[in-house]
Amino acid sequence: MQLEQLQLEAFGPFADRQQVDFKALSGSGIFVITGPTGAGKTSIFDGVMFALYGRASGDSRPADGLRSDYAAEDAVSRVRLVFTVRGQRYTVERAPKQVRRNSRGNYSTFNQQAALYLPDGQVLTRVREVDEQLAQLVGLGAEQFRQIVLLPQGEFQRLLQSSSADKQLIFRRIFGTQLFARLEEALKAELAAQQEALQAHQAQRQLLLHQLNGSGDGALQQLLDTDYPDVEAICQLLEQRQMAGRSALDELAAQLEKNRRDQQKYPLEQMSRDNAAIVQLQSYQQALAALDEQAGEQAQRRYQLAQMEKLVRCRQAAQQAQEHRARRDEAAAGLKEAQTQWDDLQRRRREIESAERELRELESRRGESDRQLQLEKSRLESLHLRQKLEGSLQDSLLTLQRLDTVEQYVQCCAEQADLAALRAQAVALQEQLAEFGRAGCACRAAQEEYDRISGAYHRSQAGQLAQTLRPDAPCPVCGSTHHPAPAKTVDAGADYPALQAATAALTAATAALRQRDAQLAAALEQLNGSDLLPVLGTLSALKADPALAAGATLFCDERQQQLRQKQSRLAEALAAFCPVDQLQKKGLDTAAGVAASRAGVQGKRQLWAEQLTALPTGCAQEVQDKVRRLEEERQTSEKRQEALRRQLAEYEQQLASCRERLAIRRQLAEQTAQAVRESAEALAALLAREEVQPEQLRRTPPTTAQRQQLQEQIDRYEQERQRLLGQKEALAAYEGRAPSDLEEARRVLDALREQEQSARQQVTALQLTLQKQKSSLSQLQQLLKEQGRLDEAYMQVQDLYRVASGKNSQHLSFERYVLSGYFDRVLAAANLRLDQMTQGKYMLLRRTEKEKGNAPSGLEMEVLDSYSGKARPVSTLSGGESFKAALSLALGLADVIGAQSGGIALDTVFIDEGFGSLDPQSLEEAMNTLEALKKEERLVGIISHVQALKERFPQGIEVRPLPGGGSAIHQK
Amino acid sequence: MKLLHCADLHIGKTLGEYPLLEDQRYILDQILHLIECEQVELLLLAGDLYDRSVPPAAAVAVLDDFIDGAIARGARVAAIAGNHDSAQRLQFGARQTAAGGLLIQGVPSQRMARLEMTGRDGTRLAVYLAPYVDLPRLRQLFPEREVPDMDSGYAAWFAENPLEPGAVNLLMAHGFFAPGAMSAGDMRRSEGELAVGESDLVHTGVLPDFAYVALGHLHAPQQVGERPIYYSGSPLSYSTSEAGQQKQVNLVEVRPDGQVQVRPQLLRPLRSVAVVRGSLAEILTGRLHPGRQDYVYAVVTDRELVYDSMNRLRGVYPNMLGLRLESRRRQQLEQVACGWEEIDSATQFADFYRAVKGEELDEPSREMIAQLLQKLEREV
Repeated sequence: MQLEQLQLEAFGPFADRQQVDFKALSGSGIFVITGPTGAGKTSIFDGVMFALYGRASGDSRPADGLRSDYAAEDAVSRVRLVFTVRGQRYTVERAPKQVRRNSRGNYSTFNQQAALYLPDGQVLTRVREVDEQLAQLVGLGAEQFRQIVLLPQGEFQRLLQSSSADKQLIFRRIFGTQLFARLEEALKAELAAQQEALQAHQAQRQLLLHQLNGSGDGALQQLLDTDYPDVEAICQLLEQRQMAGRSALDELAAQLEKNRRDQQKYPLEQMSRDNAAIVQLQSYQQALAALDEQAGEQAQRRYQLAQMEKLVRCRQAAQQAQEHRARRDEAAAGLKEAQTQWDDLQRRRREIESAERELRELESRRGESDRQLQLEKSRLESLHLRQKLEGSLQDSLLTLQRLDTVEQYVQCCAEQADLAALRAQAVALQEQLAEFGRAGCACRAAQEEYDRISGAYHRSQAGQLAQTLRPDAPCPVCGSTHHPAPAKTVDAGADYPALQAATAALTAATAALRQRDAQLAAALEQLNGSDLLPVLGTLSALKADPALAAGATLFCDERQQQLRQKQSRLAEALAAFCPVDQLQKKGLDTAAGVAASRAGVQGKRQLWAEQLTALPTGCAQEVQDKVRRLEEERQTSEKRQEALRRQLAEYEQQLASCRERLAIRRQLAEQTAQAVRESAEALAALLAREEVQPEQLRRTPPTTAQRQQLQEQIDRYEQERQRLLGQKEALAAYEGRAPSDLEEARRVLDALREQEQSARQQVTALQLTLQKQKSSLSQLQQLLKEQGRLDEAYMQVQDLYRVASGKNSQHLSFERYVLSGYFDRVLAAANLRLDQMTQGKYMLLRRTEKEKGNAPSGLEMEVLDSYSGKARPVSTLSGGESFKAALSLALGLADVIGAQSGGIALDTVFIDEGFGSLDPQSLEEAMNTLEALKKEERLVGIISHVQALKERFPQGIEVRPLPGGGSAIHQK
Repeated sequence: MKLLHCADLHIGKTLGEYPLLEDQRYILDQILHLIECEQVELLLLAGDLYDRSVPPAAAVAVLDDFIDGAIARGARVAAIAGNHDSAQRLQFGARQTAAGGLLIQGVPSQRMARLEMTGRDGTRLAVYLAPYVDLPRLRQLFPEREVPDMDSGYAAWFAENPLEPGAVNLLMAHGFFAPGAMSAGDMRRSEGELAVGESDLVHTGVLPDFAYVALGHLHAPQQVGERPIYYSGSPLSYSTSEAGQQKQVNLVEVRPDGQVQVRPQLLRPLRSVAVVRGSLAEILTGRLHPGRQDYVYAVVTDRELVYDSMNRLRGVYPNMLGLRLESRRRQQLEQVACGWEEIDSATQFADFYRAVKGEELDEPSREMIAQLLQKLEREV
């Protein structure tokens, strides 16, 4: 956590707004807050504390007394702190509870207000929310913060010398080991709970034993009457009793058994039942005797029935014979019918034969007519083809004509092109001519010039020569030495170079002229053989009269005009069958294309003509009619054939079916005749067997009802008889027995029953007693077990409690043990610095032996002096040395806390005073130590009035008291 | 002409509890002797003349005598303030003493103080004095410039003070200089200097092309890189980390053409600082280090401290600086270095139980404790 900026308004000794910019100070690593005593140096730190936690650092300054006494009446007292945690910037504003004048002029109390601005833009405005969020961000409680970030006056000295108990309180706050303290309490509570359980157990035991009272058992009672009944002995006794009881039960059981067996000897019911059965048997026998007397009637009835049945059977047989006869007659009739049909069919045979003949003839004729038909058809085809070819030939003629037109057109175009080219040539010729003319002029001009200059030159020769004349020197021309009148140079500009130039120019111009001439001749040569030549004439004529060339152009133009007219005419003609722009597509835009096309058409015409010769001539229509006729004929013939065939087939079918029917009917007739014979024989046999006369058959038969009635009577009699026989059979065992005496038996049985009853009662009573005893016994045994368990549990908890709470051989409670672990770490971190600060002389140790008496131990500290090799109490250190020890301890604590609480980086540390008591050497060493803190990237603020510090660390802020009261912060 | 370059006198310093004034006087006499023998014309004191901003009165007297002695032997004196000196106090009367041959620059200014002199052999010398300066002060000196670090500050300073053409230019400065790409770790430093860290490092690349740069601040004599930039080092060993260093002052011969030759002159102290390592018994024999009067720091290799070891050592070496148990340091470091494994509370209790009662905690009890702890944790 890094502090960036602090603003204090009407806070502590600062009447108006004061500001501290920590960020500017962070460059140097260490800064000093100086000022005279009481100016308000610590108030700066108070401000930071208050902003973060809502209270001041020292307990001496209560929270609602933070408002500055020097502030204006209506000024708002508040603190604003900007800080960053893990790269995110937060701003907290807090106003303490204060009494001030409000807008209306009255004094009122304003409660504490707080606001936290989060880096994402959110704002928390409730004091509790702000506090929670800040606690989370900073990671330290107010106490811890105060302990670590501000190393206050004298506090660490106190920590050095405080007792284990005090240290425990301080460290508990810092390291949060309340959990372990609470464990102790929990164990204590557990112990109390165990005690209660034991007591409850005790009460239960009392109750149980009380229940056993009054059982009438002398020995038991004796055991119970003692002060502390021996439960074991009671259990044993009860067990004995149980065993005795069980043996008594066994005895009683044996008794009951004997009783039961005796009772079995007198089965009363059985005996009465037997008696009843015997009586029944006798009655059956009587009934049977009665029935036997009716036997004769029964026989009579049987005979009657037999007779009736016989009659009935014979009648049935007679009926059957009758039926057979009827059927036979039927079959015979059918047979006759079939026979007549057959005869019919035979008569028709002749007709059929003639039809067959006709059919055959038609078939033979068919082949002939087909052939003829085919012939005519092909003839028709070729006639059609002929027509088509002739048509094509006609068309092709048209096409040829068209092609001619196209050819003309193409030619016209070509001519136009030629003409254009020619015209161009003419124009070129004109130009050449012009050039030639120009060249001629130029040449002439050059010639004139040359003449002029050469003349002048030559004229001046004399003058030049004259110039070279010296008096008395001979003249090169005449040799005279006397030169009376030398020639004068006439033309200054006519000297040799000029002449040369003129000559050159002339040569050039002449050459140019020749060149042009050649070109002209060539151009004219090109036009040789064209229409223009006559117009143009010869080269010399042209040269003479350049206007002729123009005539050529005109001529060209006239021709062009004519050609254009022609072209337009042709285009019109073409437009009818083929627009001009389509020509190219068909390949007809050149003469060669047209010729090719024409050649193609010609070729086709040739082909068709040849084909035509091969075809026959004739009238297509006639042939067509003939073909039609032939076809009609064929169709009728076909139909007739069909009909005949059908007829034949029908006839055949009928024949076949008739034959079949005949066969079947014949068979049937035979069968039925046979059946009749058989049934007649059967009837006769039956009548003979049954001894029935035929006339008897004619009489009315007996009805079914009569028969049934008779049958029933017979059956009934029979059934009754059978039943009686059966029942008698069942009771066969009782045959010849006499009934027994029931009264006697009853009496004996009653007596036995009474005995049984009493025995059973005894058993029940005994069982009840035994049951109660057993439950008591089991409960008591349970009790004994419980006791053991409870005792063990109690011992365990007590052991743990004693150990955890420090009531052990080492006077070390669990919490202090844990704290001593932390303490060791703190000391290790502190020793690193102390070693450096004292050049290895001192090292802080934790005392591991137990304290005197019962004082709690584990957190005592002593210092090992390497010079003497002995350990000394911390209180023996001098002022400077104990400052160093305190400083290292503080920094060590800060390191450990920082490493433990998830590596909260405490980047700002304040050291409040303590330097005043150091001698210069120690001060020097202390300052060196502080400088070493620079390396660790901490911002160290030193609150002190010592001058040497100010000089050593020039960066800082100064708190100056103002003349009117209050103070002001001045930052360099 | 000959110059003598020394620095970091720290007059008035106490080493442990011993005032070193006598040793310092001894060594300063050696330097005066050198000045006389070599006919040195200029004495360069490159900072940290005193040890404290308000030095003891006796120390002031010693320095006074020294400077007086140097001037009496024909040398001029140029001195700058170092980080240990109080810049303003050192500079007292400088404007008046400049005429008499003593030029002191304590407070850094935009325009560097310069000593111009011509040697007997005609060498024209211009010595630039750059006393100790820190980054805030540099920023104050050049308010209109961007000074993000020391390098740019010094660069700005030299921009304001161009070299004197035609003279041999020398620079005297006090601070922490390192060559081009080298880091601070490669320079030889003693313990006290380590605290400075790297924020005050100045790369020698910003220094203009002086013929010789006389530096003060680091106590070990060394050359910085390949250029003629030298720390003369302190004349005495002032901490145990300098024990065994051979101390020297630099005798610098400057020729008129600007050629410079450096000849270190070794110094012999009255009492040296030594670190003696061995078992206590060995050290007590006195054979490990012959100089009985020396300032000795003992590193004892025994496993444990012996009773009253310091007094016994004082019997052999009366000027003991201190004593340490070698293994302990390692132990300490190990202890702190090893990580904090989070043991769960139940296991901690088991350990505690074992520690207190000497027996193992049985399983059912452990269970119970674990359950209780869980319940308590949940209630939080």
